[in-house]
Amino acid sequence: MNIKSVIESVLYVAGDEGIEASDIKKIVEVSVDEIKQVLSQLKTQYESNPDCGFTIKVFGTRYHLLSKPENKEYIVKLLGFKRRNPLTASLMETLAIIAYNRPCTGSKIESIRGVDSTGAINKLIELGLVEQTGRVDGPGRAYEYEVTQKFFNLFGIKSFADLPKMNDVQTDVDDYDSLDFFDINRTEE
Amino acid sequence: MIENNSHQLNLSLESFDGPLDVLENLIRERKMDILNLDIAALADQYVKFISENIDTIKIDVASDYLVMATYLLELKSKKIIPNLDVVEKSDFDEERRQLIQRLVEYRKYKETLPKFFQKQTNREEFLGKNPDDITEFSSEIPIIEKMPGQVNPQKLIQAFTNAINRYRFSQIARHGLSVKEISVDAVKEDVKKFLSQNENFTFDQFIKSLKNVSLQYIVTTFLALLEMAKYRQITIEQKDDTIYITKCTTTIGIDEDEIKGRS
Repeated sequence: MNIKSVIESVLYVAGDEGIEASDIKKIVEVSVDEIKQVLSQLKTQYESNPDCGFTIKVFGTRYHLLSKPENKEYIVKLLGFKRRNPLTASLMETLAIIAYNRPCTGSKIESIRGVDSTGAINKLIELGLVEQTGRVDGPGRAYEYEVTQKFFNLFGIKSFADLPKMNDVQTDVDDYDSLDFFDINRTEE
Repeated sequence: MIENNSHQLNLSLESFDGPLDVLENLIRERKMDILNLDIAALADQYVKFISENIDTIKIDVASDYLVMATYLLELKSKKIIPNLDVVEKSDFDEERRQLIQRLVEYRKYKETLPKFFQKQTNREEFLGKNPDDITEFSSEIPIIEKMPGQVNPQKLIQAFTNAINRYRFSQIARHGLSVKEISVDAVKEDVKKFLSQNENFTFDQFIKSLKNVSLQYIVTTFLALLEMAKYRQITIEQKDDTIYITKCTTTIGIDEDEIKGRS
């Protein structure tokens, strides 16, 4: 068995949903580290070869075999292009709040947005961008929400460290004391 | 109070995402300093905008905007009515501080949105194909994993919805109303009968074994299974979208009639 060849085929079959290194491990009996090494070799191979139309991208923990960006204009000529996940501003807002506050309860979202967000949360769950991960230990046992792997794929980001940075607003006014409501810019490993 | 009619918000209320969104836009459009907000001026402009547009939106949405309007007017009155009571004065400052805090926080999130949209656009430079459907090649005997301690109810709902969808068109594409009541106990008997022939089966298999099954019956089956699991007559396991039902060994089974009799 040629591991590199197998991994390449598996990536192809997985398509834009991608596959985790740990899933590949279940089929080829080598360590995750070795798989990651092979994946990075493949990526270098693709990108250094101008005759090759593929590249490998990591979003979240999943690896994806994708077309090279410079070829997009030609692919679009063939297939046309339709945005797959058009998000409204209110969905995007809700999604951003969950991403920066994960895990995040519905009431936290509502207190920030100032409007009932149940509909938006449910829509995001339906789109597979958000999931319930557990419940708060406390009165009401509120649901906690967390973004999914699809979230990383949608924005093409590898980890929470790649989330857009939030602007710091100057807060040295009146008796406007320090705000403790942001532990959002925490970086994730 | 600032009279500033020169530039109106050229938007209807429908395009806003709640009262905070309106306030945030007003502050930005009028170039107010968010940290040194003139609450009275903000209240006036907000109320003006809302009163002109409130008829354009649904009543349940409108109430959110009206609550904010009354709150702002209350704040404004606290500010402009001279009050010698020192406690009241600091009350206004505190409320103003809290309102500003909320607006600042809201703005922070609002400002990240263009960056998210940009990231999405960048991501779309890379195209991939749909994953291949390999279900027809997957093995007949599924690998059953034990359910974890914490189960996401969403997944259970999904599995149930999938089971229904799979048979909705093939089996219940009949018109007309059904008024037949199906009791959980009756369905439980059906399940028990099926169980006596099959030690373990999937939810799909059971539904498939029935002819002309109604949606109501499927729902009742789901309830019956949950109840049987409760009395430890069966165990329910789930792998991906499939629900597996296994007959329990009799020793740990609890006599349901006995429990009912006791209560």
